[in-house]
Amino acid sequence: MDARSDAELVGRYLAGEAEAFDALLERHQDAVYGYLRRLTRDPDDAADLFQETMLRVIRHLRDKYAERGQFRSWLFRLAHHAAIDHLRRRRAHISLDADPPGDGLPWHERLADDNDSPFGAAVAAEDWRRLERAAAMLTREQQEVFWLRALGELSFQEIADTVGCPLNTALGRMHDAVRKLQTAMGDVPSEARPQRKTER
Amino acid sequence: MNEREWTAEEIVALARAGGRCHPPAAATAAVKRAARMALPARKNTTDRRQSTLWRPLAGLAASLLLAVAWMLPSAPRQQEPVRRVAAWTPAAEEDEGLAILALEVDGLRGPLSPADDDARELFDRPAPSGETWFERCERIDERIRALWEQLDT
Repeated sequence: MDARSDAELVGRYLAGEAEAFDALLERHQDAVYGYLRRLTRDPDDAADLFQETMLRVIRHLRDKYAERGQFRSWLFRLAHHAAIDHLRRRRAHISLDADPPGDGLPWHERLADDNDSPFGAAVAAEDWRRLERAAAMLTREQQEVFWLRALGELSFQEIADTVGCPLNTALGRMHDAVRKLQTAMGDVPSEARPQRKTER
Repeated sequence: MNEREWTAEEIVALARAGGRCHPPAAATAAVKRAARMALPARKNTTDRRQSTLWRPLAGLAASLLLAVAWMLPSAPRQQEPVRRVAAWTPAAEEDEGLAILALEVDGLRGPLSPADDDARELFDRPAPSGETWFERCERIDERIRALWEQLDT
């Protein structure tokens, strides 16, 4: 892993060091693709949007990315806008009850079969699948805030700027999302989940 | 109250660990290529366009790559399910353009081009989106070309 900061890597790339961009890509690609994957729920669409996002990054690194030192939040903003444009074109998000895509599998089975996560084989894989299913039932606005926080690791102010809402709205959406997920996750206890210290 | 209630921190940590996933290798490779192409495009566009040598050489190289990719598989192509558009690739023979007309097919390595008559049948098959794979390639190609043109201005 390259120890240089994002800002340093951007600077090196703009100075002509192509490998600096590779390092940036490798640092952020899993989180960005994961975000697009969660929002679109379609690996092909996510891959297309991933490429589109990264092309926008390449295009705008010199002019729009002014040295604000927040490459990650800017990157997620581009990814978010690409995803939202895409979802609007598809007329809003897909319900788990919607018609299945061409492979004939219902949505919930596609989600359950999603094995491309490096986390998939770990002890909490079952918990992850339950979480993913539960997250898919959140409103789109809640999903955006939740995944930007979890995968983008953005501050709530950055999230508010990205989705274009007041800070308190972003906080409220996150609160509502977590409460719904807590309820959904609590319904089926799992052996794999971490031991809780408090038992109330 | 459920004695196993998850905390917000646990849920976010689980989402962070599980939600990350690797983009397809073809997609990251294409992005890396674009990043490299963007550097000389910004620095020396005029010189590159004036070059009379690189186009035929690059076109030859692209043709050879396609030919090699086509020869690699030993399994019967017609029975292989099409997985997805493999990602766009620079089309040297089309100046600044790109060719996305490539498919990733189970069991095969390398792109398949509709310019090859034998591969055309694959492109005529329906994609999950309802279009044919060819139409899907064309639609994505248009989007990428538009972005690419912006890159070069």
